[in-house]
Amino acid sequence: MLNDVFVKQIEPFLVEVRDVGKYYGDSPVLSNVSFDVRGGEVLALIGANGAGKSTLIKCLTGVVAASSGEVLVDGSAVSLDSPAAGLHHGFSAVSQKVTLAETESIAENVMLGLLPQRLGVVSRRRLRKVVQELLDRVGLEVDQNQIVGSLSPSAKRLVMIAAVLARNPRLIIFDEPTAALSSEASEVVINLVKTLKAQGHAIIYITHRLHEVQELADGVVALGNGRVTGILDRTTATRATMLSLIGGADGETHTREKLSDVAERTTGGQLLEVRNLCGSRVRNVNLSLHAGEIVGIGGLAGAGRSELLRLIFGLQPSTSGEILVQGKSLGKSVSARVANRIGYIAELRDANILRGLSVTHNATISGLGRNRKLKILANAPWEKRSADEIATKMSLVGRLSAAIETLSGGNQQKVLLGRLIIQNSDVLLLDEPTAGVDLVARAEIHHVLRELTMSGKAVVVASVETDELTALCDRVLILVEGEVIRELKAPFSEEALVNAFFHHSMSET
Amino acid sequence: MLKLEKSMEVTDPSAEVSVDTTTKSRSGGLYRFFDKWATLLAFALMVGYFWISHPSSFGTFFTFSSILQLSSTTILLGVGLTAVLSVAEFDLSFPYLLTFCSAITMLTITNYHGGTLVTVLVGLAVGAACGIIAGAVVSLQRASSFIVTLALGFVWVGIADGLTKSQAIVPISLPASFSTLTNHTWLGVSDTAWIALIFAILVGSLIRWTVPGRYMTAIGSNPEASRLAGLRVGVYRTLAFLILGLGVGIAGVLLMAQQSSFTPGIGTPFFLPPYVAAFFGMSVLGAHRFTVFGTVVGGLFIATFQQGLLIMAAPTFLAELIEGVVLLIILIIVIRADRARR
Repeated sequence: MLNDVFVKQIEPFLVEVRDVGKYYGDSPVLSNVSFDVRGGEVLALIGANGAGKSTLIKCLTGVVAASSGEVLVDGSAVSLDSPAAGLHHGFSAVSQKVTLAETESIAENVMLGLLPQRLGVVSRRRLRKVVQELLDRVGLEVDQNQIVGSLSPSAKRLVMIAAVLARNPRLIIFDEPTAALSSEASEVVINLVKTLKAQGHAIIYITHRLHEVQELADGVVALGNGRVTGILDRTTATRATMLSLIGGADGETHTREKLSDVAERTTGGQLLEVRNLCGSRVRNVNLSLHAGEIVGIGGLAGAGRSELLRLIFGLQPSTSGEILVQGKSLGKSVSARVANRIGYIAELRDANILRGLSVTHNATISGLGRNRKLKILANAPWEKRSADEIATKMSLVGRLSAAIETLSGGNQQKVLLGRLIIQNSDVLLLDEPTAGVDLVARAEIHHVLRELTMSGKAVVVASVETDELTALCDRVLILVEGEVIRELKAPFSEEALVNAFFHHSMSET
Repeated sequence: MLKLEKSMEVTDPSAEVSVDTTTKSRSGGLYRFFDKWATLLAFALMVGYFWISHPSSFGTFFTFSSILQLSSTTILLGVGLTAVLSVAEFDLSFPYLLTFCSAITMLTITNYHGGTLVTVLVGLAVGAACGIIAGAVVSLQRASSFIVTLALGFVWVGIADGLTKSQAIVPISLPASFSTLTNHTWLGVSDTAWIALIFAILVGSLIRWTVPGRYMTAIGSNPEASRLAGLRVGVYRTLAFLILGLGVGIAGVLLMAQQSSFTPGIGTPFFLPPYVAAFFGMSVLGAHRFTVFGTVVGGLFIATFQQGLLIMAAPTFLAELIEGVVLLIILIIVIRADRARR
């Protein structure tokens, strides 16, 4: 059975999705979704957060059972009522989040759950060979006994893909595989998708990055509010058409607006000063942050962007250097920073949200201490008012009394940003503020950040997305191996930014 | 929300596609109905069974007040435990702390002639202080509260053994003001039950309505996110352990006043019931989280079947056996429901 994995070419086949719908109670999350995908084809699935993409994947992989409709493979209906059934029919998904056992070896992660049932007796040598072939297929050149936790984000992504390939899939669904990767690392994943396509796999590729769609897709299915809003082919899938289908047309104009008002904006007094900050990777970073500016932290994966923010926020001990607010050095504790009006949102949304608590409570949690009219009692009317204000300001979609995890990723991110506003932060440290957020929500978040700077706040954004840095920032610090090697001041072009990333590394070698 | 099945999350690649936009309820209304009412229904059925099978002995006001009296220790401990569970920590030391507090209380009133007021204060202070120590060690070392509290439990019981020389203390006479501490009734219900109820209301209000309570709930949901939001996580974790310690102190004092004697290991039988009560509470009205109200209902549930078994003259081992089985069943229900909600 395992040998079948390495059949180079998969027989041509056709998957037809017919009128698939999913209802939770009375509310449809997905209705009448139909499309075809063939072996050797990449179908891109696009749509705003909450459009139903994730639910569709869950239906196709058998994680949830569809309420209506059917899926046919080569003309005969298949039942997808459990994840096992999904695997049986060769439907596998590479999930958006990294779902690996971080403390185990690559080999164990790749073959997780496959050892006993397929081989009977585990033959170490055979296992090594199988894993090696899988790693070769995904182009990962590392020792298979290495612990997964030590790998780079892109290598982890490749391990996840190898684990999916071990299950011998015909249809592979990629859920935003490049969302958390640098552009260089994304290239590796995109090339792998092309290879898999050439080997005859059918691929459904979900992304918010439209240039990836244009590079990869043979067909495009756009979803909106659980319905198919349009099906495009290679020739019709222009950026403008895709944006209009996912309702992001005005998202583009929002982004364009900005460069013109940079010149008008004046910066105010200094809010934060970082002197010669060093961490495990970060070296000698100096930063003087003024009211009214948005500063970007750019760089390739592993350059130390996240670490810099973590050092400033006190999540990681600095080896030397100072962080000053109004000339006074901040201590070690995180709570001292929040008290000094510094707020932070971590890269992974799950690290920030309070599951099981309502949207309102999530938004107000760190502001409770600031609102001390009644020293001890939580002030419910104030909480409701604050949450309402935030919801209006950010055009939040979702009920404020509902648990935070019921919101889509983009809306969760808005709530987190609202939390920083309610806690009255003057300095906002944001690590990948729009990762995995659809274009509309992203434009809204950018808009709110600009508004905040107008009212005298300062924002630091660490991002891999060069277009985000270009659209948003007044200046960008470019990190290479933990050091700021250049600072670009607006206006600058995206090309200039990308060049700055690579120029240094090229001149070094 | 529960941490009990954390390891599952890492190894299940298909389940983590993305955040769900709605909660999942496979069979809709019926499922929701059972999720909400199943355990209360079981409670009602049990009461009905005892009532019908022993109408003359069970269906009396005396039984009602005995149940309240019987539940008071479980409720005091369970409510304290709920505070600790609500910050997503565990405590295994409280039965040993109960022994320790009881020993100190009895020693203060007998050997040290402390007088009633001093004795009560000493009992409560020891409980609270030990709670703070447990909370501080758990917070500062970020060690597993399982192991820390297990170790501390043995420290407490070790000190108690040292002070009492591992002997029972059976005083010939106690100051009347102390031994009658639990003899009063109000509206026909003993004051131990009222004290437990007041403690529950205070702790419940603290968690539900106050800023520290909100912080505790946040920490229970996601300690790292709470830290990022600027909360002093260690302080509120310690507060939770302090509440538990205080509950244990009150229970110890009341226990000594009631029994007028100390025996080594007096706290050990109180290990399981507070956990059963707290987890029972999770399933009450589909709460899916630890609530003081739920724990009180759970405490009453346990006391009711203990009283029922007593009336039926069932052998005593049966009570413990049933408590263990009930806890297992509840865990299975709660975890299944939790998974279904994902």
